[in-house]
Amino acid sequence: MNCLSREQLLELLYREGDNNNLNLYKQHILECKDCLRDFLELVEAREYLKEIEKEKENPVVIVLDKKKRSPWLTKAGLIAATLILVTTVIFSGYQMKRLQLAEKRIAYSNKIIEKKIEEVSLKSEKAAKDNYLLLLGLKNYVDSVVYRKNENTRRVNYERF
Amino acid sequence: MDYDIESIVKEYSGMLYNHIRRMVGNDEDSKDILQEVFINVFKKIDTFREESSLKTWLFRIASNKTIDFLRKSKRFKADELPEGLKTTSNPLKHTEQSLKKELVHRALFHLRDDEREIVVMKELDGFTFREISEIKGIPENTVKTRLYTSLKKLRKIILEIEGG
Repeated sequence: MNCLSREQLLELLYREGDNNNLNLYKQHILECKDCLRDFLELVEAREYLKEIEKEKENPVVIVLDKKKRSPWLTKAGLIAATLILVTTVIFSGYQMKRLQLAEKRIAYSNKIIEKKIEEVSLKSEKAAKDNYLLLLGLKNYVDSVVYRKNENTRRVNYERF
Repeated sequence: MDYDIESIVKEYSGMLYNHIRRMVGNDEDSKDILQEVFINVFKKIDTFREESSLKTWLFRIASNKTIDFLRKSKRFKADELPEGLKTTSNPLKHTEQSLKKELVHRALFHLRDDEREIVVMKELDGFTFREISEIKGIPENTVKTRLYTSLKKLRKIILEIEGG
């Protein structure tokens, strides 16, 4: 068997790998002085490290905001929020409907008022027209009666009238 | 799957802290980094897809944060033993064991950050080659080669310091 590679030496050192392979490596080390020396140097380094291996400390770690909300509370909150939302939607819908009805009523009243105004204006227009025709008739009458007389007299009479 | 952040903190904060402390070398910075790690974990826990184990995922975040910190700070010079790892300055109180510890710490901090990290992960955190390869995102053989080089280098440094 060839000399062990660095990877193979490490596998043997930490006993990580296929057992058959590890046995082969072990057997080779016992036969090969170079590999054995190499291996023992690694073991020596590990021995030094054992000096500090047991030095372990546990820090004090404080987890802030660790309060967990209970699932029950979360569920209740969700239900309450849903209820509030639904109530708000229903109430706003009802108010909107009322508003629309009020708008309709106002529009209807406006129409009636407009109609009445139109009627009144038509009536007054008719009266004015009648008055005008009456005046015109009277004027014609006055003209026909006093036409042949002095023009000035006619004007005076007309204006008097 | 839902994860309880508090239980994650309880279970892994010790491991992560010790890893970071061995990499950084002082308590204050280690605590700051650990805090950043957990902030990151809180933010990203929803994106954890369980392609690797939770432990591997947490160590990947811790490893990235630590290496980032070391790159930015570069505060430890080769001859300087990190503050938090110094033993008492009174020579009378030095036992042989504490001297050895100091020696190993000093030697560890002579290694490059990536070399020290592999040694810490394998020897002190107890990860397998596969786990380290997942955490670091490098092939298993690269992990082995890097660890081989680091251990050899570490031994050499220790012998040099011991030799005077």
